[in-house]
Amino acid sequence: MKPFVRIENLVKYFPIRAGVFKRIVAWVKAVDNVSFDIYEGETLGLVGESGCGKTTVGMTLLRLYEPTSGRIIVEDDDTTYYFLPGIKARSYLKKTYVNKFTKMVRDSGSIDDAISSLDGVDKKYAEIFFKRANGSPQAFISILLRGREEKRKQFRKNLQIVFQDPYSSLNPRMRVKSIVGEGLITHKLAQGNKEVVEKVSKTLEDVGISSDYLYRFPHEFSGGQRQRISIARSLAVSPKLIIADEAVAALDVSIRSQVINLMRDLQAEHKLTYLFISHDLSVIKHISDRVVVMYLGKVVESAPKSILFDNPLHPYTKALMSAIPIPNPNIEKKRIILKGDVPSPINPPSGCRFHTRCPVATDICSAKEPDLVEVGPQHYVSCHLVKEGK
Amino acid sequence: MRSETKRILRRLLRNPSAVIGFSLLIFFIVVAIAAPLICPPQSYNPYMIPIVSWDLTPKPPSDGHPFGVIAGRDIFYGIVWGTRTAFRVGLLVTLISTAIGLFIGSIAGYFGGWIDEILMRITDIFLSIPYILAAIVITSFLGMGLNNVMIALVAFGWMAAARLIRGNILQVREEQYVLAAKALGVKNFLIIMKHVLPNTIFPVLIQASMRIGSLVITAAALSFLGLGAPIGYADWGSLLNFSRNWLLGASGEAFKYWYAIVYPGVTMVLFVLAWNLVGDALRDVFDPRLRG
Amino acid sequence: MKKEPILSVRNLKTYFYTEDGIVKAVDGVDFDVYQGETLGIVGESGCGKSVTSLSILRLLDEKGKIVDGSIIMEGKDLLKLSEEKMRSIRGNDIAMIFQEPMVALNPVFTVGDQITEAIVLHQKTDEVTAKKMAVDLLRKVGIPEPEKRVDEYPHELSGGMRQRAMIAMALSCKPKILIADEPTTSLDVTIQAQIMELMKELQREYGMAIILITHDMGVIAENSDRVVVMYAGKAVEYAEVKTLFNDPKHPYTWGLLHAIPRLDIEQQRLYNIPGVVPNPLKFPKGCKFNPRCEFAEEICRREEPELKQIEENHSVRCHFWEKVEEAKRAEVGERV
Repeated sequence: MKPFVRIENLVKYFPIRAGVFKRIVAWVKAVDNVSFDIYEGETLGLVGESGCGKTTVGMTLLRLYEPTSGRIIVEDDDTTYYFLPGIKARSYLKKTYVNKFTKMVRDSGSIDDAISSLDGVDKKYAEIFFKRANGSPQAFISILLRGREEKRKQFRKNLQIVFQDPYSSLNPRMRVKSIVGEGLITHKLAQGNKEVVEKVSKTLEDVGISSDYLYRFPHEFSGGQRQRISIARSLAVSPKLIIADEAVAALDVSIRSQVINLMRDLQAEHKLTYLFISHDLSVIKHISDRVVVMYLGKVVESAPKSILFDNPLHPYTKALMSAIPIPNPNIEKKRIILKGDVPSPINPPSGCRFHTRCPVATDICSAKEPDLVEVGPQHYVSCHLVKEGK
Repeated sequence: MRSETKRILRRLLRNPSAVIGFSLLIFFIVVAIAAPLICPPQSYNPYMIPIVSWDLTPKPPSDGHPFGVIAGRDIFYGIVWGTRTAFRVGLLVTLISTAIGLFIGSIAGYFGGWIDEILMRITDIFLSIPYILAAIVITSFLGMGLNNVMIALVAFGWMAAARLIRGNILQVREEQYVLAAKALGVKNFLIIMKHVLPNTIFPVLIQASMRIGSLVITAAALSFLGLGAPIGYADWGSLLNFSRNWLLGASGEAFKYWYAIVYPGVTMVLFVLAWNLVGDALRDVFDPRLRG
Repeated sequence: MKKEPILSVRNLKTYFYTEDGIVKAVDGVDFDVYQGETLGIVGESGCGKSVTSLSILRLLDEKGKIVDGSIIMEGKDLLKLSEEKMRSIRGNDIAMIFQEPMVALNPVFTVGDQITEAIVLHQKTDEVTAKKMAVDLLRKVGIPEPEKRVDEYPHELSGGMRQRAMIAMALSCKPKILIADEPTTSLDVTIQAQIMELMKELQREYGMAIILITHDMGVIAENSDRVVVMYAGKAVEYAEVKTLFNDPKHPYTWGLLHAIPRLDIEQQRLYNIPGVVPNPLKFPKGCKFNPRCEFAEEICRREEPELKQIEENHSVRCHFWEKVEEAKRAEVGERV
């Protein structure tokens, strides 16, 4: 099955500037070569502690940050260049495709051979390059750049986000109707006030907020209700994917369950795909189909939920699971206590980034970075020791 | 919606200085509106204070001239019609300079980067020039007259608003509801108008209302130096200009011509006080709500 | 066999007098704390758990008043002591650590200065000895290179380190009772595990009692001996930890245990406690939980239930606690 979203070798560094001339003195390596797929209709849980880069992944996917490098492919379209200004978009297309294609033809000689050696997006774009653009880089680039405004709009409509803080994610001076209706107006999904009110009311009812509250302000609602309004705002434009960035972390425990249940119901009813970002493994376990574990900007393990929780392989995943306090005093757990603090993403450790805190680290761990390898059906781990069958 | 306005009014009325400020302001507004009734104009231009005597020595308050006479002109008339001038100068200058400041500051704050750098350096340059000096230079350049004074005041009065709005925008820009709007695909211009400005504008409005008062003083200072309104214009500063020669009184009687200074002076102080108190009250009302 | 508690709280009531009305933040809380044991106080935001701990140390702001109750420590009622006597108890006999180390630690003083300040104040030693003791304390709480850290400022340490420093400060005078108010809520889960482990070790070594305040049922289960569940300012259930988790009698406790996603049981769907936590200015009449309780009946809306002891070491504030028993046997979509 083809993935709905493919994140390929995503890198996001943030510059740190200092001095009078604001020169770059260091980089925060928030996301450092992260790849994973999201399939339509599933809930992918992205879990890790603070500083692991999970929120940055979500923000970059949505292009609220521009990636430093890497590809973001949505439904078989490379969307990485969508929001770049003209010059940068052109140079991206040139670097990523034009150069590669021209080199391939030189090496293999035959166009058809070159095309058949590719797959996915590369294949599709190669066909465009050779067949439709007749090998002309200018034509290729202008074909892809055509209709960018429309592509951007579609992208924004299809991918939405719900933030963590219910108190700052709603404009305190806008009424609920305007907040939820803004997307409808932007994407011309409703014409005229009456239709907007109709659709907004329906969406609010879907999330459990009475349409009586259409003209209220955010500060008149509780935290849980505000989160529902945030969800309604995203839902109103009928997106395909919703990123929930710690969407329940700031809520009271009894409210959390309401919102989690709501999200699951909405997923079934509206056929949504979720990227659920959280540091709380219990919530992740409850809601996800597959899970990706991140540490300090890298993916350390990913697997379907039951496989991950029954058989975690990466030492960090094991430590993370054992660290979670279980609300059951009858269970005596053997705790894996990690030593030290999480290192800074400005200066991550050499080799495997986890080696400074890993209870079973060996020499190779500080020297060489492990690759993400498949060790079971859909089970990927990035650890030297696991590769060797430990 | 109505309960909010009620809450605001209740809060304002509970605050004694707010009540004083608003009362004063209303008083001035009434005087300004009723000027033709209080002092019927006596020439084609009501703003020229009528000459009531050809003797240039100031005359103390008397029956027909409750505030006295200076340079042959009725002080009371000057004060009453001067209220209109004060409002005109204060409101117009503040409005325009705040608008300019908002525009520049918004762009700098929202887009950041080199746009921000350039605009802020321009702002710094303007700020480094002493206000009154600049006003004097421009007025002497453009020529006398109240309109030119206003141009000068606008040209050098927008910076504070620009900085203030830029600071607020820098903060609001990172708020999650702005990010959410971006994620929805809302255009930048609309984001600024509907999300950023409404949440950042109140401190600017409050600052603007407090500036109105001090602007009038600056305009008066310029008039006092002879740069502003033409001679005989109904303007508090001009009245003080007349009194320049009589500040030290007569020999032996230092306060002989007190009325020439006191009436215009006290009027200006009250005017500025009114705006300051109003600005304070607005700040009290709107600040906690910004947090809530 | 029957130990004497080192701290006994009876019918504590703390009200806040605000311009919008009276907020009954704590309106009837009873519990005992024993030497060497941990008492967990659990509840959601607004339930009054933090105000309870501030009341014990009498650290309320001017709007708050303790209007009723007694807090007996070693025979003395803390609520009746003079402010001077209270000051000698704070930091000395009873110490407190907070949720946000950055807020509790003064950013303009070094870590060492803040610890030595407490030592000098209560133990009347000189600065040099106090500093040596501070370094030892930092080492004890697991901060590497304590001689270096003692001269650093709070912002130079990580979140976990700051929390450890705060624990060191709290322990500097070997308190009999340590109050920990959400000590790990703002920390990453692996750091949280470290800190809780550290507190357990220190408790074993110093023999002190700990009052652990949190909203996290997991933390409560793993670290408490006894638990008080609070809701809307009242203690609604008080039991030994295993009893509370295995055999909860209050509908709120039961609801909470089934509303949280858990790693130890399979859950088809999370239990939904309907409604929201009530506004403290507008508490419902009768039992404060009744609007959200699926077992509520007429009497619940009229009459506030008393905190009744139903077994040894198990008290509940509910008219119908037996109904929870029945519900437990019903299917909630759970398998262990």
